[in-house]
Amino acid sequence: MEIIENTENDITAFKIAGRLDSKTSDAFDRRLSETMENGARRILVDCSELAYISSAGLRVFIKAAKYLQRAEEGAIVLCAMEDYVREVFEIAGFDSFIPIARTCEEGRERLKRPEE
Amino acid sequence: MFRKKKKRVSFQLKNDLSELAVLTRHLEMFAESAGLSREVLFRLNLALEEIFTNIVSYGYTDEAVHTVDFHLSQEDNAITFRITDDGAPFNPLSVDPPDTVCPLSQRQTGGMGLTLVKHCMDDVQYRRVGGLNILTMTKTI
Repeated sequence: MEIIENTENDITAFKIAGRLDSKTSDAFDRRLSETMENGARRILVDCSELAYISSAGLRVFIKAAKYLQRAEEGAIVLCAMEDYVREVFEIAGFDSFIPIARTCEEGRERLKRPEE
Repeated sequence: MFRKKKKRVSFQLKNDLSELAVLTRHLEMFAESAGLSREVLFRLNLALEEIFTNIVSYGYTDEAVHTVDFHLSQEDNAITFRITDDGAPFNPLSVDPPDTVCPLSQRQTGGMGLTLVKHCMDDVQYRRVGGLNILTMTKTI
């Protein structure tokens, strides 16, 4: 698994390439937790190269969603995932807490703060 | 002439999560020879990982190395997996599914594994025989 992180206009975007399984998920969990503890509140996860996810991977996302729900103006949006990856989120009922955008552009739009 | 399609693969893994990569490799080779689609491979991989991870995480209280046996077979359009371990008795079918419709704040972070297994496979059977857990899972493709 490879994780690419970049922050632009107060949105922190992660791209996950490879597999999020019981062996590899901890590394992503640590990375995401560290980023949120350092103050990131608007998080986009590009899943276009996420080939596989199991319950261990789901756990990382629900943990992040819980953390961001408690934080002020926190939000996480996932984008561009394969249908069979999306199905895993749906079976778990996580798609009702974590928005899944069809494209990353759409994901960024959803994360924009309302104009003041 | 009508010929039946039959394939069998057996292998053993140690009770260590680092073996997951080996499990995936065996499954990918099996899927390739059986001509399975990426979607089917994904679901089979998910079911096998969740079962193996449960065995490794909760099956043993000692520090010894244990062996988990895998037997994968295909007969025509039926894929059957048999997983045998000598860990503590555990019937995955006896576990209540987690609440998947409660609000986020009350939602458990874990516990989805066996729900995913039941979704990915068409049939799951458990037996405890002579100190062994034997799980048989079938999927019709």
